[in-house]
Amino acid sequence: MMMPGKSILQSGLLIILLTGSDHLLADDLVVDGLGWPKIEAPNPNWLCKYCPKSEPFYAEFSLNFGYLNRDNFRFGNLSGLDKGLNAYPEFFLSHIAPKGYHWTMSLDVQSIDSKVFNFRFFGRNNWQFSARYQDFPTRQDNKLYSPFSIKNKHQLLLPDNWQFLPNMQNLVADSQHNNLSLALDWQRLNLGLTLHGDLLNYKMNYQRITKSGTAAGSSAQIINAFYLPVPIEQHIDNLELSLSHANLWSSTTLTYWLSRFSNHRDSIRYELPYQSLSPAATSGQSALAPDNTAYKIAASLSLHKPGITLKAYLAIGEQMQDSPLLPYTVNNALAVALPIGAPKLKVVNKQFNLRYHWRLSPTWSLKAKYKVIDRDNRSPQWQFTPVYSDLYITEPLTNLGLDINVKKTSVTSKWRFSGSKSFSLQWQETNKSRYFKIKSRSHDQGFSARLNLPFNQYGQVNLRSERFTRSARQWQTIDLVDIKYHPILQKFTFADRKQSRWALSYALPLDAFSLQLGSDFRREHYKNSSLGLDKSTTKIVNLHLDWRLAPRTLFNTFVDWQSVEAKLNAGLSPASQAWSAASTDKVTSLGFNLSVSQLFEQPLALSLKFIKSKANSDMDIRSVLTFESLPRITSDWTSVVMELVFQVRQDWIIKASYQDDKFASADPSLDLSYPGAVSNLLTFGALSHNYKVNYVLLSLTHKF
Amino acid sequence: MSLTYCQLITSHAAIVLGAMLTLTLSLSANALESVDTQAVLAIERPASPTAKAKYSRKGADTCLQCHDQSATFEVMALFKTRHGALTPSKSPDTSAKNPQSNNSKTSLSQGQCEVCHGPIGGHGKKRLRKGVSRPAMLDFSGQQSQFSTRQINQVCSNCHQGPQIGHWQGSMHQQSDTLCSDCHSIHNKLDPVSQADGQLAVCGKCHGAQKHLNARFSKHPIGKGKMACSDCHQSHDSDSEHLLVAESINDTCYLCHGDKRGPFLWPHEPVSEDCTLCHNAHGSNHAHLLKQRAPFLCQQCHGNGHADFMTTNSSISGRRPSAFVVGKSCSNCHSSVHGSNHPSGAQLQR
Repeated sequence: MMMPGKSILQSGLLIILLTGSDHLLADDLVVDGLGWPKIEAPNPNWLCKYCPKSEPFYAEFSLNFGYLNRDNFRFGNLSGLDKGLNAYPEFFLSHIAPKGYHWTMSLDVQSIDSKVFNFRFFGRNNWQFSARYQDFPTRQDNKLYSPFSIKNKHQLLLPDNWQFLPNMQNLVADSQHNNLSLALDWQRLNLGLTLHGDLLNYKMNYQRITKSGTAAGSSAQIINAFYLPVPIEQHIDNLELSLSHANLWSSTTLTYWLSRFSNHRDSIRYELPYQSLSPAATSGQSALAPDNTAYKIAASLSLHKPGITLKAYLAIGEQMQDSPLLPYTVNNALAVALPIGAPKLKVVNKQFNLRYHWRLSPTWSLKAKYKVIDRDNRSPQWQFTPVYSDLYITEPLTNLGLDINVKKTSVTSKWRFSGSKSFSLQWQETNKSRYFKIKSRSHDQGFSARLNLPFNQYGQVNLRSERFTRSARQWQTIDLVDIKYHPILQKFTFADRKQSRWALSYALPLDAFSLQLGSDFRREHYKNSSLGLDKSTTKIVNLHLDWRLAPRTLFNTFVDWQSVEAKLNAGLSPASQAWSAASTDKVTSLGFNLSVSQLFEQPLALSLKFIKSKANSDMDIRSVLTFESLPRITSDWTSVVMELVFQVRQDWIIKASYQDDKFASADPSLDLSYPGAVSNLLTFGALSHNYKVNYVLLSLTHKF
Repeated sequence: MSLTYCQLITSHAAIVLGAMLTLTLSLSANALESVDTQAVLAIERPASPTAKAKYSRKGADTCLQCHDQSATFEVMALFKTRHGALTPSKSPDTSAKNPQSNNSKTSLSQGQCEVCHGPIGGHGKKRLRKGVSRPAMLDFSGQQSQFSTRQINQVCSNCHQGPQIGHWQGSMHQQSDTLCSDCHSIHNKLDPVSQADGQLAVCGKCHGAQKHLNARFSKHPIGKGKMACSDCHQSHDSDSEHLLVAESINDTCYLCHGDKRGPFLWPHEPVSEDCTLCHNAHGSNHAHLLKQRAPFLCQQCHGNGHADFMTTNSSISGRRPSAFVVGKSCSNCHSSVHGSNHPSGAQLQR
């Protein structure tokens, strides 16, 4: 295969070797300064008499009282706010010590479930330490019900009087069902330490994320599916150590990164709510996400010469997992020995990047990028004999891992003309090889062009156009089918396509008035797909306006409209395309914000914020003989926030805010899945979210 | 796990420490050489249009006569930060790095406003003739054509240089003529871009499309301050696409969603390849940040699957919806869509 990246790499290196100080450009990255004269400091006349007399300590303490008029679980997503009165503190502390070190500390509590603590310490010039602890809930729904109760955090049991019916057609939620709330509590701890030496910079970052709560899971017996409340207790640790060096001509960084995911449980076991098709298969077991570990060692180098920047990056890492496997089935009648108890699965990832930027003249620059990504699955393979739905043993299957190799090359040329106007042209090529169930290759190639036209000193018009094609081919067949119409090659990731994009933006930033207009049009045509996506079109138009109506009155508004149209074909086989689905997603978001910082010539600030986001999703299903429009999915969110801030004294501030939040949605896939609606599906009875709440906040802040 | 933390760290520590030591030794000489080069370059700097302007007689006191609490652009919050510390011992040391510095012990407090904004010159005149506009000082807005982006950024990089600014040179934002002050503002008690709840507004000034996606029903908790743009993107430079903090899109997602990383015994191919094949990370009209509702999203690859609308009992509008379509659709049965580690989970059902 031709390797254009290789030739670019060679020419890039050659140019660097050949280019010396003779090619210095006057206004390049070398420190050229502003030509200011030297300061006579300390200057005996510079007394700073009018500067505020700062104390070593600065503190703000706030007490907030909030009232939410209705109980709504979804509104409290992330904030944890519940109906009624909430009182919570907030503080900010800052200290600048005589020796020059400095620290800040803050606590922001939104509710019992949502709080953030921040601490930052800065040595005078050479080191920093930061700690951040964050706790917040992600809430899904609390008006759900399930017949399952959770025992020992890994067993799901049905009520004693549960009737094991062949289907759920006449099921009614009753006393056999428990109330269920789906929510996760996220706790995140970040620690960071940076040491700035004269020559080197040392950095350490650690993050731990802990998730706990209940999530939605599901399982099935043949085609009888049922939802399961899954207890979640897991945490992720990420550690990053880096050492870097930089001077005027180079930057170098070495990084070691380690990550580990730990799940407190490997599985959940449940009773089967349907009448079992086999007396021995009355329960089941599902695996939860296995513990895994990943690490990476990376080196990056950046070399600068006047007019030239070369950046190289090399990384190697592994992802590993060796959790013990569960048995094939809990049905003892079908118990079969596993080929391996705890497979050692491993993926080796390698990446190499090269970026090269060359300013050939003040008006012409070249940029070249070459990237190689290699995901090499080195997991051993075994032959498994899965037991399907705990009912029967299937044909033997061999585990497979995904191997990917990507080579990406791009070259960009940028010209400046007539002052600060510019035009850039980019060529890009991507070759991707995949090995999973078949070996295949895809080839992407295309051009993009950008035109930047500044006007009236501050304004800008940008025009962007892109055109790409993708073609995929199978280079090792597994079964004898027509390669051109092999379904795997019609998958979204592989499918041959033509992509085009046009984007136009206009920006006029002035002191008192700033306007931005943007439009984006993208089209993808999947030219050879008889199944899967056929075409997709995205249109975006947006406007943003900032307007300083008066010296202390700022108004801004935005409107964003987006439409995504897609058509897909489906059927039992590529030769017999049975039906097609055409979908249209439309989203309109608009809002404004009016802020006045001195109302009635008083230390009184007013802010009025309005946001509305409305979305519709339509779907038409069509076959040769029939046409059907599916019920529309809608969501409509409106939020109005009014805030008044009054500075009673230099050190006392009162803030009052009122929020009106309304959300209305309709999703037939939820609203039509109540228990009993579908004979072979036992759900939690979730309905689309609809709420209207008012929230009032009164806050008192003291500064000292 | 047979490989524990300690074993992993021990096995890799030798390699990393060895490399770090080599780097330290090899670069020491190089760095010393660069200091000399810098000194030479400072002398050779060409003059700019303000080169002849003079500094004020009374320093900050001159500036604060107009730019006080009641000014349109408030500057006083600076005095709550390190940049505004008044005592030299508390103020950042600028002597070693700032080519303007005339004194080996100069701190930022001694240079005052004009260290960053330049000599006041005619800007400080009390009265101006009719029709004469006040000469501008460097205001970091980028709207002053007499200063180049590189010149303006150099005011900041005089102090924030070396390893502190990492790989900024040659980065995407640097090549796009981005000013430090486009993102950072030091006349605030806290720089908004360093705060989780302030980043969306700052980054959204240029990345409006991504900002507007955050107004969607399904989104990451960015606007609420629970997450920041910088949790995924590294604005100063990155070796991955879209300036991501990790090497790839998937590696970035795994930082919080490590349960999806695997490797699984039975992987789902697109999950291992690219999370954004199914999810739109900046916001979506569909639950779980999905690009399309199920089963249609799944049918973009599995177009010959069994959620066939032309079978008689699969119609939604017929009010007898099928389990293939309602609820979680395909995931009603294929619940382990991100991969399964169950030996009988090849169909991603358990």
